[in-house]
Amino acid sequence: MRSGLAGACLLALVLPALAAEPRIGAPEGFVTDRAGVISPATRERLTTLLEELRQKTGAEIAIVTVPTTAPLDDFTYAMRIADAWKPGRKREDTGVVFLVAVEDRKLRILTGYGLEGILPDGLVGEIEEREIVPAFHAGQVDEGIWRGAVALAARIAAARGVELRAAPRPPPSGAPPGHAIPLVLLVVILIFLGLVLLYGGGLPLTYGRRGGFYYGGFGGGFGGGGGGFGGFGGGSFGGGGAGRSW
Amino acid sequence: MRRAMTVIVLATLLGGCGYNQIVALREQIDAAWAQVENQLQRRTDLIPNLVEVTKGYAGHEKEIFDHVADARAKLLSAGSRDEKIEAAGELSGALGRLLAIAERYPDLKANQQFARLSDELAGTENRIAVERMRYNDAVRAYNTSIKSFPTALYAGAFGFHEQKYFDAPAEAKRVPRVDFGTAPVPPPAR
Repeated sequence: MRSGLAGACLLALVLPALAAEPRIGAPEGFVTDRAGVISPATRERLTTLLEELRQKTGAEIAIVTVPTTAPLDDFTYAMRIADAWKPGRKREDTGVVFLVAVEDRKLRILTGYGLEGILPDGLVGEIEEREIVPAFHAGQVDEGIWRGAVALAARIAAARGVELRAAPRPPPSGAPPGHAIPLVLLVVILIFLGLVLLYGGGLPLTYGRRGGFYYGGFGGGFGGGGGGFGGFGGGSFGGGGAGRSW
Repeated sequence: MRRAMTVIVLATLLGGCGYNQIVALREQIDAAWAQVENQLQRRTDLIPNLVEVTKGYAGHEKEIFDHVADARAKLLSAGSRDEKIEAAGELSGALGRLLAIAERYPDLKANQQFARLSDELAGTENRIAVERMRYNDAVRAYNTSIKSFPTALYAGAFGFHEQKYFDAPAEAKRVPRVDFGTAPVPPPAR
């Protein structure tokens, strides 16, 4: 832990030498759940929320979970993601990378240049402390990510003077899938909403229905040819943000 | 006269031999350095508040406060780029020790303002690391260029000299970080 920041500095220095490794891969959408800790329902909720945020403010939040960031530290790994995916509108640099390294028990949120004013590092740390870490401590990674995303999105929306329909107060946490009708209804509505928002152009319905599953072979997201996630906007990052471990 | 002719001929030739490119690369170094300085400045601005809050809980850690104050003053008075790089490294080390105080003072660690300032400071350290990397990339591109053929033939004569990298200071490699995540676990919010 003590070497985290120093590691970041060191790695930043030798970074060019390591440029090829490890491979970051392509984003699978707003949510890239490589650690497999986000339920299909939460993924749908997140996608709906983040799509609405993008439409109304131009800000893009990339949520990534990985088992570990090794051999890199969490900051350097998140910067690699930021540089590779470039969330946020080009030139406005309104992107966020929200990285959770599940086995490392580390969390890192990076803000693009254009959001540093709306989301100063101190506030990002506060959101992590207040919304995310308590849920993570309770073993609810899925819930912590949702709460964190809602807090970030709400802050950006408030600063831009818009309201997000998809960002209600977070529902009571830990509702098991067995909670029958309301949850099922909610999922159906969200899937429908997601479909309308994402694939309004009449793309194949099957993708939307399978949206909750890991989509292994879905590569090369940039440019958006062939449907699905069209890639992020091209924002730049300068290293702002905050991290926590839990 | 002969000399003037030579200069004119040279100037025409140089355009095709990468002279303009070296100039552009040197400009990029200066631009990257300006970003580094912005972040160094930002960090310098954060320090008084952080020291103020910390003193409220650990006022007798005089040695550490003095070290920070000295390093900060040294950076502020540094003139050349090399001096600034050195002073910035020393300040990183001093700040690391300042933040580490929190490990010994739980009340300080629990202070919201300290948490916020520490996050700002850690974020700024990270920004410095990023800008330093970009600066070094610019220096690398420039140094490579002036040592390559054909520019290597005349680079020295036109005042293009190798630029120094911004190395991570030895002290900064040992900077500890306050880890709020390992604070006593608050009960999960319901």
